[in-house]
Amino acid sequence: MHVARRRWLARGIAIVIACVVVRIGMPWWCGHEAHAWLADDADRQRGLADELVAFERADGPAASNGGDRFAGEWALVTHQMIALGLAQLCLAHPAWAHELAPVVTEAAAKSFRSDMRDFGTRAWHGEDGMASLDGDHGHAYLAYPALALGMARLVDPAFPASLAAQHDALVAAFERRLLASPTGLIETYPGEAYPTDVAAVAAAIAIHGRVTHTSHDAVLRQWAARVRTVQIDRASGLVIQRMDAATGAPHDAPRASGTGLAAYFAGFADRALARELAAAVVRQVSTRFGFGAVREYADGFAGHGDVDSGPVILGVSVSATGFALASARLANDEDAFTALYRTVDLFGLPAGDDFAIGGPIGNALLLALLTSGPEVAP
Amino acid sequence: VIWREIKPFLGVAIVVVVYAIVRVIYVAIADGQGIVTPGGHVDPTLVVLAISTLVLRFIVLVVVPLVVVYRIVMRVSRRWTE
Repeated sequence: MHVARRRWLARGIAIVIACVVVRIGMPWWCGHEAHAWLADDADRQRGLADELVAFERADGPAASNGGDRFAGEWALVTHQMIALGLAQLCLAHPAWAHELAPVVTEAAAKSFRSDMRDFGTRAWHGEDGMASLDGDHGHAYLAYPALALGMARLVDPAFPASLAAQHDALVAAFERRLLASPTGLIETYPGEAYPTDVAAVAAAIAIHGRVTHTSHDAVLRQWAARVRTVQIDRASGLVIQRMDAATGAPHDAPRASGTGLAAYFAGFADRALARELAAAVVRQVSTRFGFGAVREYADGFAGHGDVDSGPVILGVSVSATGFALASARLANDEDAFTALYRTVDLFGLPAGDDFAIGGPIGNALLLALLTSGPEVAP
Repeated sequence: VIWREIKPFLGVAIVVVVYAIVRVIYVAIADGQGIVTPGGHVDPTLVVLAISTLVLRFIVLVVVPLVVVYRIVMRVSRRWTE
């Protein structure tokens, strides 16, 4: 064969081999820890947990009173997710509980502080959700700290009695409001109900039942039935992101970010419903070159990103991709989990035991989502 | 002889070193806070560093292995093509 022809042939072979190596090597590199997370590797879990424990310890009362370091929903969700993630680890590794449970309570108590719910009080024109428990306004955002408090009560024998009394009163108000709702929805803000937030309400009620050994079965059964009949888009299986609490009229599209988080919360209350929602989220996973991402909108719908979904790029949602990690775990879908984890690894920038891009809220969410399972209702 | 063999890989080695340096700087400056604050404020320096780190990470994971493997294969096939 002519030398020049041999060179071209060698170049072609070299390009093909290089492409094959990158196609195999890059997904392997980004996903090589996925199996360990899926298998509940204690070292991985403890490493990320320790980072968040350190964050929670450093974030003392003085830092939070400034008001500008954390704001509204971000601060609430960060502390809530730290509490949930650490509580899940206490359930999975009881030997860790004596060390982690006090931090669970600390994080949950922070998420319940009045300044954390200022954004909700403002939205309700000055009505504080905890000062109006006898009222009919939903204040469903309070389900996030309520769920965190419930998990803290579940794992921490030294949980303060005064907080427990407030928690009991809040859950009782949620139960009464949810039982009175014909749509299975209660409002988060005036005129706005989010099925995801109501899933958090159901989760809070369910965990309260586990802690206090009281039965909330009637309200949870009614909620699950209403989710299936009112809140889920039949074609996609996704929940509608925002609805009218009174009529159940959709105010938004069926979306994966809301459904992913709703599936995680539903797991605390109703395993079967959680699996249905998780399956719908996993169906939204789109995989390219071994990397998975979640399409935000159901087929036939389109829209932009917002505070719930994060940026929506080429139809793919950043938040939904993260939330889907818990859905893939619940669905026992190792392929989907691995593909999603590779994307999280690629863009999350692992740095030691945590991820450098998302900051405290990103790491808190990942801890809760990557360790989900022990909290799921029997 | 050693220099002649190493030279084709010098460029990619520099890219890897630059990535490592930029990544270390980003992680140190971010100090566990990520690129967006809860209030929605964005630190432009941190964002530029984060984007640079991610772009370099992509180059290191895709372009560097492509170039290295290509050059190794061409090096191995040299006897056959000359």
